[in-house]
Amino acid sequence: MRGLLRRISGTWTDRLLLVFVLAAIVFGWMHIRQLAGGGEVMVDIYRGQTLLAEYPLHSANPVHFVAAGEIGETDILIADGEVAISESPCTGKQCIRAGHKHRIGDMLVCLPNRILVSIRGDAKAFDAMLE
Amino acid sequence: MALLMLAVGIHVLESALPGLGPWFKPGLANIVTLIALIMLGPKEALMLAVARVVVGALFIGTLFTPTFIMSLSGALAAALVMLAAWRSIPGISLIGISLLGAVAHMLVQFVTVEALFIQQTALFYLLPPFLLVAAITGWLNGVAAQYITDHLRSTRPAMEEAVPGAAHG
Repeated sequence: MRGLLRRISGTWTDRLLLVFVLAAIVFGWMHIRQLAGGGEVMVDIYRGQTLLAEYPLHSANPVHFVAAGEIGETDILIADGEVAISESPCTGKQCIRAGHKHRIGDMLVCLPNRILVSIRGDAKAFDAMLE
Repeated sequence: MALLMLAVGIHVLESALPGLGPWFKPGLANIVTLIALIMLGPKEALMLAVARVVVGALFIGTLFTPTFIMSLSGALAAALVMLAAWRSIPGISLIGISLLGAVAHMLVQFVTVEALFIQQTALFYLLPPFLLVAAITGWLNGVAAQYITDHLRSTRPAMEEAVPGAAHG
């Protein structure tokens, strides 16, 4: 067991390099996440499967969108690189309690009103990559 | 020559691996480059890396396609970085060399794809997770290469080894 551990653990130089490489990856990851806000990240607002509107997440002015849903109007607020549901006709208010979202892939859902808000990156590039 | 055929074999086999897609391979063929570096020397290792990609592409049928250009740029970058690391970083073992090679391989492939095929900076979102996996597989490949060379040394103690900065300086 100890022999195996010694075999896979490398020399001190190797371990130092590993720490350095991992630190660089984490740093780069955080940096890229920040860069992701460069106007390419979009907020899509759906009622059922119908796209009602799309806005950039990082716009200069706050956006207040009123989405007409199944049981009433859902107020969606996009400001400071975040999106949130501020008002909803539903009883549970889960969608409001979900708070502010900003990451690609994050979603806000109001099931009773059939409203879905999702944050997406530049889909074109990803589609091309998956081919 | 035997090492080249081994490297080509692994290269072709890897390209046939299902599920991982063209974007990720464990880089097992690099183990052969590492062994060549230690056992034969830097020039031979570099030639082996390039020859492996070219001959492998002949077998797979991807010569001069984007896949080939990606493979070649990655393999060349990895080999050059590994050579430099082997020569200039004291105390490094094949594990560290392999780690750096894998990361260089992935980085250069991304830059190549971005520059030549998909001009979308959004591509780089995918880089960190890919680099992370490359670091892990690079480390494991290094362990394998270290194990094999240790074994070769113990069974063939008289075998001449490439020493950094000496015979091939």
